[in-house]
Amino acid sequence: MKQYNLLRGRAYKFGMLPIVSSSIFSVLLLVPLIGSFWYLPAVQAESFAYLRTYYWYPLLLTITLGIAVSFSVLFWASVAIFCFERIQGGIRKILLFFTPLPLIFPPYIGAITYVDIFKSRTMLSVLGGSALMEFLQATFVLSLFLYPYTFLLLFNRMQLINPQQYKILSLHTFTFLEKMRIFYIPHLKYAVFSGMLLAFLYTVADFGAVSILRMNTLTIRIYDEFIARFNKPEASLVTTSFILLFAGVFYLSRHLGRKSMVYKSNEARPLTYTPARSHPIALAGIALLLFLSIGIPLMKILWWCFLYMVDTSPLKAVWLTAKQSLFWVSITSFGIAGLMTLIATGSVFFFLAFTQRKTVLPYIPYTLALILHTLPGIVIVFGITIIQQFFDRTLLSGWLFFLSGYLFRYIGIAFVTIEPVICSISENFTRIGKVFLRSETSFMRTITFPLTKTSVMSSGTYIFFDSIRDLPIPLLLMPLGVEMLSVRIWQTASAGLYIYAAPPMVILLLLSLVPGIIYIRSSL
Amino acid sequence: MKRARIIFTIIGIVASLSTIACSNTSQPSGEPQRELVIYSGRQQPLILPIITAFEKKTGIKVTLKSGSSQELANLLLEEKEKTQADVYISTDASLLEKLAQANLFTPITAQELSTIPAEYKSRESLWTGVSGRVRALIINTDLVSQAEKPDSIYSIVDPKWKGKVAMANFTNESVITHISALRVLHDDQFASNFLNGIQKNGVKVLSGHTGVRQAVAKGEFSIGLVNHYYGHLQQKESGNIEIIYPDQRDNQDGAFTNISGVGIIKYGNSSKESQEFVKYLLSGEAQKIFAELNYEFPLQANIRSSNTKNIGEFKKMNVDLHKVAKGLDETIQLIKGKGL
Repeated sequence: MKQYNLLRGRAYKFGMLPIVSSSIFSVLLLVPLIGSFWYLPAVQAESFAYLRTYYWYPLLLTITLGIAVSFSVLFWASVAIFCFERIQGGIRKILLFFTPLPLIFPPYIGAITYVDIFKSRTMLSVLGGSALMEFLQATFVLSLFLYPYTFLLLFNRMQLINPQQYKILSLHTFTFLEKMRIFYIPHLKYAVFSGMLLAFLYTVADFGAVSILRMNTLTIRIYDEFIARFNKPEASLVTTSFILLFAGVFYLSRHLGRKSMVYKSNEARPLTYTPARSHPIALAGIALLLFLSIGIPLMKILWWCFLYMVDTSPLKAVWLTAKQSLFWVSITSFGIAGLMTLIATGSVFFFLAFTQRKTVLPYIPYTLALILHTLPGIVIVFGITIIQQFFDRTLLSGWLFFLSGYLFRYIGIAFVTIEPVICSISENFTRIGKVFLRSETSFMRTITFPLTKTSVMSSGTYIFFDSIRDLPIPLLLMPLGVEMLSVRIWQTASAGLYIYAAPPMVILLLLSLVPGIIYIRSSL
Repeated sequence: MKRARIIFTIIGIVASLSTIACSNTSQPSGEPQRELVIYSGRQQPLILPIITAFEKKTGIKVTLKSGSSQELANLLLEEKEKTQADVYISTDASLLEKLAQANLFTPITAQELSTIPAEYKSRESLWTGVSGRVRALIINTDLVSQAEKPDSIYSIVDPKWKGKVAMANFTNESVITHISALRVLHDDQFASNFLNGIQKNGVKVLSGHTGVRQAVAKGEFSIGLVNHYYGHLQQKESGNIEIIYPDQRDNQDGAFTNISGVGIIKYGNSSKESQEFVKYLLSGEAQKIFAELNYEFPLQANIRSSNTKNIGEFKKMNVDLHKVAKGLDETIQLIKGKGL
């Protein structure tokens, strides 16, 4: 039995477990990062010159698109918040359910539904050329399907504001700008920055939507460099730059995230101040937003499903064959996402439950996992190709390798969700538990798990929701023999066969609907 | 807590069962299952009908791993003798020749190989073409009149069409091989000038051929440089596309013709089944499926396709695909040097 140093007032266990488990976790999580740097020594001097000469445009485009999307996301989220302040009663509850719902659509599905709608010969394309038009289209589509993340952050923050302050604000005749300066900006600035940064990161890391929308961003360049030219040293150089960029942005986002983090304390009261009646313009604003972000994509997908059913072309015969495999692809997607949920959530929970906190050890894997989660999937896959060399070529190793790609990507979510709750368990619980309970396992079972089960559930829900629709990892690891719904959708749509992409789209949306709603409800 | 346990247990059971179900490849009882692992650079839905027909006919179970032709070729080069692949299907001759040069293929023994023209198969029978594709121009007939329509791929560098042409990006295997063919047919300087012309003339490089055909049909561009079947696919969707087989006059180069082909992996475990599969691909039945579904032309002269031009009905570029493949790495360097 372990000894506990109660005399020193620190009821933490000593022993090798925290050191060993933290070390194992850290080494594992370092693999993709080391893999990205692995080929750097092979980089030739010309490669630097090549990247300097020809990568400035993708880099500039990536950052510009990220900034444009983060501002657009803020615009949509502000529209939603602004309108919500002017809506009351039952309709408010209904709209509150639907407004974050575009989160269900992965951006690449949004892009697929919109790319067919955009007409090319518009005034903008005549004035600014097709490049400007494409940029604006990409900004519009990405922001439309990313705004719920910022909306949830802002809405949560606003719920903490004392309703009395709203009343006081409404009694004075402040102008809009004065209201912004003295009220909204001071209350919401960290949530706004955090939300914009989140949108920036999602945009810069995106692969599926930008490829559909013809944006030649850095992720696309890595894909080309890695897949088509198999130029590992140069791909390594780009992924390393990516990691450094993301590490910087990650640090900033954590810093801002902490400041805007919402803990529902006793003092926090939900926003109860609502206007006397709903403003029609506010209702119209929300309705327009929902029409653009849910109505149009849904109508488009259902229309394609209809066309699929009435299709009589020779290709239909092909797709009837493909339909048979669609069932297995759906089961595979569900299975992979489910396994990922269990492995990532379970391993992180047990790791945190049994390791000592208030030491630096668990924070090493914690930080690594978070950085990995922020990185684009394409960078992670490039990083783990290094271990591919040590695998034999059996189907089982293919599956393990495939799962490891997901694990590196999603374990960060489990850390960020479970860790704060485990840390918030009072030290008194720990002390009492150590005295009255016989083992660490019983302590975990009777104290840690009951207190953290909600966060474990939300972690699992979000991992399932996000991993079932992930695109770059299954796309790049597809040669290992595992096909996911997201890959089927992207490949079919990339070939312009939209009506054949519709059935897998419907299945994916249905599979992610329930976890998506649970995630949204838990975030509100 | 009870509810959480139940939910996690259900997810666990379903996930495990589905994973086991998907990875289960063994036969319950009786004689051992004959199996074949195929790395396919063709899009899965477009190869599935042929594989399904092959499975029904032979009883051989096929495990299909799809990806891009380049991706899978690179994977095979990495895996070497550790590979589990038995057969590699590519959409480009150069990649097949590259793997043959890396000593990854074993000779094809199917008798049907003799019916394939010599220029579309390996001299050592290490790979063979299965169907053919031509680098062609597509034009938007709403934007380009019959009088001014281009008749050569070199038209895309004509200042007359500045900013009005689109093509797939220079990491696409068809594009790289095409440029490689120009290097072989003419010389490096010629290919380099052509690439300079593409840049100078503002040819829009899109991520893939599908993007090109759609953009031309929408009227964003007047001309697109694609593989010919993309033109047919677009014609199905819109009535304003015309396909031009370029450089058909006597003093012109002819249209560059590439193949989709297959090779048998030397280190595979199922060489007998692999030979059977290649034999099936070269059979009349499979050739017809390729032609009807993909608009590619059959390589056997006695099999005719009704929905696209057949071999012998257009002037081909007189270039040796083996030489084209050998110069692939230099071509990539040339392209990269231009920042494309």
